[in-house]
Amino acid sequence: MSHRFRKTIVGLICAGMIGTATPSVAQQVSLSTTIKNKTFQPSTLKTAANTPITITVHNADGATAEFESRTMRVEKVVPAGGTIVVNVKPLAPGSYRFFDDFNPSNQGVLVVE
Amino acid sequence: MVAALIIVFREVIEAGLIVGIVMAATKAVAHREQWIAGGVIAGFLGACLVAVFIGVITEAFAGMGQELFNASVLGVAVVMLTWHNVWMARHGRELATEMLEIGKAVVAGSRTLFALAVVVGIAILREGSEVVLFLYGIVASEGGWSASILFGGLAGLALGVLVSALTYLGLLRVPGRYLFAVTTLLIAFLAAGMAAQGIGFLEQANVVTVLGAVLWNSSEILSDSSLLGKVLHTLVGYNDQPTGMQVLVYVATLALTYLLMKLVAPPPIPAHIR
Repeated sequence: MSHRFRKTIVGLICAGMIGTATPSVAQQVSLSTTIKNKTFQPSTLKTAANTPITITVHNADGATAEFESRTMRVEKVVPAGGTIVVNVKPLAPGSYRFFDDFNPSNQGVLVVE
Repeated sequence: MVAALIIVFREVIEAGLIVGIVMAATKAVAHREQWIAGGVIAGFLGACLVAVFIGVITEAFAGMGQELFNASVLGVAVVMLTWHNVWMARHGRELATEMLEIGKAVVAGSRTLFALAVVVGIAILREGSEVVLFLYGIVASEGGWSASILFGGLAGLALGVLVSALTYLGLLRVPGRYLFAVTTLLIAFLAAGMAAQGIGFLEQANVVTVLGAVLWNSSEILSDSSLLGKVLHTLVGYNDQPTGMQVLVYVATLALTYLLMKLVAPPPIPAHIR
């Protein structure tokens, strides 16, 4: 393989990566909920479809929690008294369940319309 | 108590499988017990440290500290596992046939034992820190230790040890001449799965955004949070909703391991010496 040819290929791959890395996405939506008395407040969040989302979770309780959603593909420890932010990719319309993995009876849902 | 038991067991199962595989992979290497025990103890201390400093870790790197921390330790484990396989491709035969003098073999063996002890430590650190946080959380919210939490925690721990022992003993049933090939394959898949998982954390932190679309969704057939799914997740990196980048990194890790092993393998022993 000639040097120039190889350079061209590397250039094309890099260009492809940059191209896919900066998609034209809709504005980001910020949602938040608080774990208080072992329940998500609010436990129902709503947002529009195909929009990148950040969810802020504050833990007002004394016990550590783990914010988890299988359908949103997130899992993150929420320290007692702490706050976390999770990034969620743009979602198709539907209901996406989330829960506290350390206290699975505490559940909530993100409704995407 | 049952809830505590289930949560603890789910966390220890992954570490248990990894310890069992490492034990089997190092069967031919002298002094492995001390190294593996060292990895277990260091992992446990590390888990406690992570649990204590979880607030600091969480807030680091603009709130993406947990993701970057997980990705980093997984990255180290991938390097160590791959290094072990490549090293064994070069020296495994010498160790197995005791072609090296005993003293030299011990020194050489301790290098790969160090790599695998680090892997054991990381596995226990990652899963153990969640157990510590979870149990500490219950203790904090209930205002003290109760016998049921203590029992749940200890029983979960015992189950984890049992998983290790069963994995190890199961692998020992593999005939001796195949054991090395089997553990090499298991470790290669372990590394590929961890690499894909590490990339998943980088995607969560928005550090890696290329090829971020989910390739398939097989959660209806086999959820990776079910028991079988979790075992397969640990062993071969099964993921029910992998992104393109995760699949790419998974395949690349396997390919790289294969290539490196081929590259360093000693020439076959000529027929007239055999």
